[in-house]
Amino acid sequence: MTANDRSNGLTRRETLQRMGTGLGVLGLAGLLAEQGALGFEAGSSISDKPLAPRAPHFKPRAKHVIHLFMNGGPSQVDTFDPKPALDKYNGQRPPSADLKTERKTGGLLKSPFAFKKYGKSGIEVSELFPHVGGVVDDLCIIRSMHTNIPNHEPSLLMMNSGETQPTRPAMGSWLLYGLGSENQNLPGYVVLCPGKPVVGPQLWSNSFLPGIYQGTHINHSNIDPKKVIQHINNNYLAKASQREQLDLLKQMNQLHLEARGGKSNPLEARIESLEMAFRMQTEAQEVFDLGRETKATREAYGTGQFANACLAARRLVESGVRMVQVYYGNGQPWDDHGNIKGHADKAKNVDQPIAALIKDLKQRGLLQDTLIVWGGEFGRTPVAENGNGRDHNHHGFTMWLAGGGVKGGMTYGASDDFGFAAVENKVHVHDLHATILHLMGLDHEKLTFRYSGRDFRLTDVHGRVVKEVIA
Amino acid sequence: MPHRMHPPAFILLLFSVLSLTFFISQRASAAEKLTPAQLEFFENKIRPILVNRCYECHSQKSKIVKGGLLLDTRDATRKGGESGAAVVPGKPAESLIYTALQYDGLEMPPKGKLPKSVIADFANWIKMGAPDPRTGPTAVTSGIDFAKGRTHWAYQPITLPALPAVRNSTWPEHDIDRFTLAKLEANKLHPVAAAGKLALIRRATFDLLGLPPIPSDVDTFMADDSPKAFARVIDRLLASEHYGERWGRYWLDVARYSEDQAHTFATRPNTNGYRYRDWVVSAFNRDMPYDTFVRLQIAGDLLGPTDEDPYEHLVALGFFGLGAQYYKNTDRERALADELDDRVDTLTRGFMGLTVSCARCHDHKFDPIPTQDYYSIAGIFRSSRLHNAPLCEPEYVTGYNDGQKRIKTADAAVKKFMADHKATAAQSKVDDIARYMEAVWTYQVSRIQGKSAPTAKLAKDRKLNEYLLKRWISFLDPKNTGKVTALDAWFALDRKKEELLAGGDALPTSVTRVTQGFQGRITSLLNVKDGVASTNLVASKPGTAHKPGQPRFVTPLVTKVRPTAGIDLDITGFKNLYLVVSDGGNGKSCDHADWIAPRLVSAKGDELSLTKIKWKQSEGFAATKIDRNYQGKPIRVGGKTYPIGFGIHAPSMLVFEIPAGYTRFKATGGLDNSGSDQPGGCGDQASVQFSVYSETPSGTPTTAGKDLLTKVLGKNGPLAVADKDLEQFLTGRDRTQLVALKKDHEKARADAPAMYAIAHAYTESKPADMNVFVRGNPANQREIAPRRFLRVIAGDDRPSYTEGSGRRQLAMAISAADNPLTPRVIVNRVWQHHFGRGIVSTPSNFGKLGERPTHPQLLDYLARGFIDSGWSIKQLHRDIMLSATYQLGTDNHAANSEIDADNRYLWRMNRRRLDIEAWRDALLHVSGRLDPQLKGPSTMLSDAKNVRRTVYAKISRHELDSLLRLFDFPDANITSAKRSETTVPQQQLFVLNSPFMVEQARSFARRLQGEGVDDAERISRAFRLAYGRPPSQREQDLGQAYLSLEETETNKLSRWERYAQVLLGANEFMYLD
Repeated sequence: MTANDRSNGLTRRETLQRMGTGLGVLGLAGLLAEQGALGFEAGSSISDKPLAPRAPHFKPRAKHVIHLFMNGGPSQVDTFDPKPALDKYNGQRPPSADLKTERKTGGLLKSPFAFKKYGKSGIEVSELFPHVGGVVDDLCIIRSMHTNIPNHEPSLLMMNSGETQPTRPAMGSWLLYGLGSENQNLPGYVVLCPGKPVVGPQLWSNSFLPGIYQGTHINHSNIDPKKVIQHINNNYLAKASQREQLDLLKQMNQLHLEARGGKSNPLEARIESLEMAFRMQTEAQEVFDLGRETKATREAYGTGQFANACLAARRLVESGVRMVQVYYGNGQPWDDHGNIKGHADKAKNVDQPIAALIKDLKQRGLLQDTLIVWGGEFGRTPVAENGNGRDHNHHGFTMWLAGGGVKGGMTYGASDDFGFAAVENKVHVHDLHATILHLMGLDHEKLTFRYSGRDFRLTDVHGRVVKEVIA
Repeated sequence: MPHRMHPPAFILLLFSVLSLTFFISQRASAAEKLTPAQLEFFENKIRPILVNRCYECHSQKSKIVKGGLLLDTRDATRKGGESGAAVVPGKPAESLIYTALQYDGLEMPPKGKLPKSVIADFANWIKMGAPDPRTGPTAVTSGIDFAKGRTHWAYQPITLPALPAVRNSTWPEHDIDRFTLAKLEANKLHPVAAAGKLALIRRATFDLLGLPPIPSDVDTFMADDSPKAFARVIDRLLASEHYGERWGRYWLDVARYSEDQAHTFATRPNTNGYRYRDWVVSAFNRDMPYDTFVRLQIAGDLLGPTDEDPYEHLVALGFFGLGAQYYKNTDRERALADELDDRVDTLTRGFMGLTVSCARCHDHKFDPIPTQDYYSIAGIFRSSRLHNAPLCEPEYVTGYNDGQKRIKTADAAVKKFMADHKATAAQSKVDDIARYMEAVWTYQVSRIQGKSAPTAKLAKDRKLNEYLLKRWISFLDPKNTGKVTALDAWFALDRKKEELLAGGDALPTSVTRVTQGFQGRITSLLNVKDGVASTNLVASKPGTAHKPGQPRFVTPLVTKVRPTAGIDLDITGFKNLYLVVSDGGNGKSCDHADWIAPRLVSAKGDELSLTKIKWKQSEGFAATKIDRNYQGKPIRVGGKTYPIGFGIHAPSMLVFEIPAGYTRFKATGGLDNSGSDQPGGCGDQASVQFSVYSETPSGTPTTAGKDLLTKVLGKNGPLAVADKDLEQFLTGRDRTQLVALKKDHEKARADAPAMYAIAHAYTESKPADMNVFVRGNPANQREIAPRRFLRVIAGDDRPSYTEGSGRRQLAMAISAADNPLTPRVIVNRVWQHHFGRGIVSTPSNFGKLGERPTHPQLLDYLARGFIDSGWSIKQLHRDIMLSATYQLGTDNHAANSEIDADNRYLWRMNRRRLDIEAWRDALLHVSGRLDPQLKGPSTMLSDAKNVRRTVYAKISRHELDSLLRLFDFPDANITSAKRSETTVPQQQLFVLNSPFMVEQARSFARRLQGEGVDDAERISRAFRLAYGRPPSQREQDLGQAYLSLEETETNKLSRWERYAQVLLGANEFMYLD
């Protein structure tokens, strides 16, 4: 190695990589960011290739996350946490039960949906999810989730960023910061939502992490490969003409570089980045072109926005994208205050695509590398609101995981007899985050970013890895 | 039972007792004697749990001690951690360990609640005084050593360091260079060659204006051979009003400037936020002394107007006035605390490079900042509040408010007039109901027969209003079948059959019977409604004249205590009997009532039970039941069952025609037990009242009747008239009056003074000290934190603030010349923007965990000079830029980079990428499209036609503009010390494919066409405009070759446009040497 090489930061890059693998020093990268390594020419390894894959802290169980976000808060007792006691005490509020809710609620409301045992595990799933029931042996259902606040906005933020106020990076941003992405020609963290959920972009914000770790929101209500990513298509030049133009740009940049000694990380990085952008035009448009799938696959997923999003999610993780979030819909659709039977339509839209996604990933050998997370920002009350509806409930709710190193065909934790509060093996959102990071090969206490004089974490000062669910 | 103890435990016990004895002799506080039973209890029940379930995180051997709590010695357990005492002997409820085990607030151990029996053991143990044989220190020492803390460089007073000696005495151009050169020489480094003049003027122009130099300015500088040439350039640039746009924006990063909030729930955008941005720009342009700049932003409202501007002291408060506002719909206290944190954090990091926010939950782990100091500062902001300050004389505000009041009054007058006349307009048409319905009949039959039925003609023929006719048509449409009970008969009519039967033009009588019946029904309901009876029922006194519509007989209130009332009255001469039950006037709705044994009595004494004859009319909250209560169960009143009567739910009215020969009416009014006794019902509150009338009661109609009126006359009914249509229904004086009122309203609007400008500012609130929140939890408060300055700077016996909130005193303390932090921090920020890295490379953290200065003496030299210059930022620029250090080239140097690859010691200038503002502005500038206008409301960058400078873009916390986000603009939710700089393909997609870039390329190409006779000249001109230099021969050749290439495809951009895009998209355009 010549001295010239080193002057351009190679030593630092090497050092960083060495530290990155050996000491789990991702936090140090953050430190460098604050100290100035991300600011100018010298030693700019993270900033030149902020999305380059980085070694995790330890051997990961999963490489990708698909978060199926049922925004609005699906009811646990009508989906994956059957409660026979609700039938028995329908309409009553047994004095022994503590059922204090945010708003005034009535008596216990039995589920209008029947439950049935599925699979070898015999786990009971509601009639809302017959297809998902069919893959129940791949699911790890956590029936003891809880969070802090029974309101959508703070709880959406908590589920995404581990904090109820809009001041922290999203989990996807943390993953990208910690691990980079396997495909430099695609965004590393993609958020699919037809329209926008309540709260909006803050849910996939990079906050104090560099802007490139922000989630890329794609409105998939109408997937047009030419438009899904901003400026992904050149509307002005034919392909060969664009290549010709880019060649000139490359030559100019090369002359500029040579006039400056022929070596400079930032200048070279940008030259490379232009080429990457050129390739991205093709690759990103391809990945969102669902028409490339076989008829059989399309039929397996079914039709509708959510089905398309699930299929796009598979194509994205297949192409190396680190995290994909699929929001059920615009606003907060699962928020059935008025009538819990409203869950039926929504479940119908997601049931088949979710089961298809799991089977598809499995068949392609991707399920073992891909962690699927299903759930809302909180659950719903077992007591009635407005007659047949259910109110928000942060005391207890259900989420499930699949693939990516979790045990299949199991339930973990339990809520009380009425499904109101988590009581056994409680799992807070912080614990879920710690577990997801762990599965991705990251120690949630070590994935830090120095900001404002503090080392920030996704899990703040909390979080327990729920080892019991890990295969 | 000691004999059952295992040997190791016994030895342990023995050891414990021995050490305890020793301990007692040492410390009186531990004087307690453990009985063998207590010891056994501890060893069997308590110690194993502590060891197995708690020590992992709460012992001196823990890898990380959580919450500052140790549970492995008696004293440590009693002292507790950051949340307080873990064990209070004798008081389980006050012992945090017990509440935590119960999962009551705290939840320990985190892996799951322990069995009930174990928790009970702990309760018993604490109740018996928490006997504990374990000795040892309380460990985890806390408390800050301020004397030691103050030795950190940043808290030392600013000195005036002597100029260091240097070997190469000819190199320095400025005293600054003596400091940098001394470091270089000490590290065996050599400064590279100075930058060429072209690079220098480009660097200086971008540095001070954020724009490229224009060719004529370059020429002037190149031609100026005097030693003052560069100084002249600097002065020219500093005098430009675009200087403030560049440097103001740097400050706005620190101020986390934005015009909205991250969330949209219950917040409003700060529409006047841009005024703060404009003030910052102007303050830099005026070279406002920095200490004044600081003071105005913290306490402008308390300092009063400046000589320059009567309102800038209020606008400056946008620094806090535009601060974050958080969700307050749940956990409001926590959200308020979070907002205070935003203020404390932005204040202390922004002005002083101190991370005081770290001390919100616990004493700062690295810097001498106790939690109390955090709450001392937070208390100052808690004693202040957000305030939209008018930027005008108070008289104008009064005038504006009066104007608004007048608009409101005039508006209300119009609305009231309309409401009154709409009701009248609707009611005036009641007599036409039958005719409208009959017209609809004709219309519907025509449609069924497939004939056209134009409403205009129909209305004209029937002398009806077409507007109302259309409303009737939709109201009476068969799709509304079942929605209005009173129209059941209408919808039941068989249109085909009826019409056939009638034939010709005449309407079938079955139809007119229905239409006239419906009109009659509405009319009678209106008569009831328009009656003048009071709701307090009073029967006409015997002997006085009876007023029609007044009751003949009224019972007292019937309640649970007095559940029945007898009714007996003379009905001689009455034709009808109206039996009315009201809710008793209390609005409660458990009004289950019964007319028990209602009967008519003849003069001879014959009785006729009303339950045996058919009523004429029955209206009420529910259907009337015979011999049953309204729920269909037996009538029970006061616990007794009655076989005969009517069960009703008030309000209710039964109407009977009295058969001849009866002269008295007798009954008992009863409150049915089902109402008073229903679970969750009204209990003792239930009350009803029975009254008897001889004609239609005046007073309120029943619920059903009211509903019907609403459906027909209400705003959605067929007779309703919309506001905008009312005028055509009015005639004569009414119409004139409405027109006049509308005119008044318009005049009030026109005359009202325009809304005045406001500043999103701060103002004083009720001054009060805060308590320290234990671990940042507002629900758990500890001692008072008097409002005052930080102890590490202001000293151990600093005074408390007593002037209002204390904000003015705080502002003075922060901007004081003897505050070692404030001048150093700003000087370092300015240095950072000139060199790409600060002397302290963590510009907002000068604490222990921040980087140490590479040139501490230089930092002091600059800070001292800065204060002496009257806190002049412009003078600071001059000093820095006139140094040889600033004027160094960016060339590499092999030997230097071997020693200092990061260029910490400044042996060369750092090559920098333009930030998004400078890059976008330069694109617009070179393409000839930049709008140089200063100030004003924010513009949207998403608009490709926006040609204002980027500093005027709308900055959103909720959704940052995608271009800004793409090029590393910071999140405006938090103060930003420096930009990160990432290089990713999405940025290049913008360069290659965005309409904005294409627009600039087109403009640039257009501009160039007029600036040369051939491509060679145009290429030269293009390089001069874009890069400030002529092209090399190679570049000239490349360009010409590209421009003359044969066209093989159809494209939307010309060769020149494509070439222009390349020039604008090149590295040279984006990176600054």
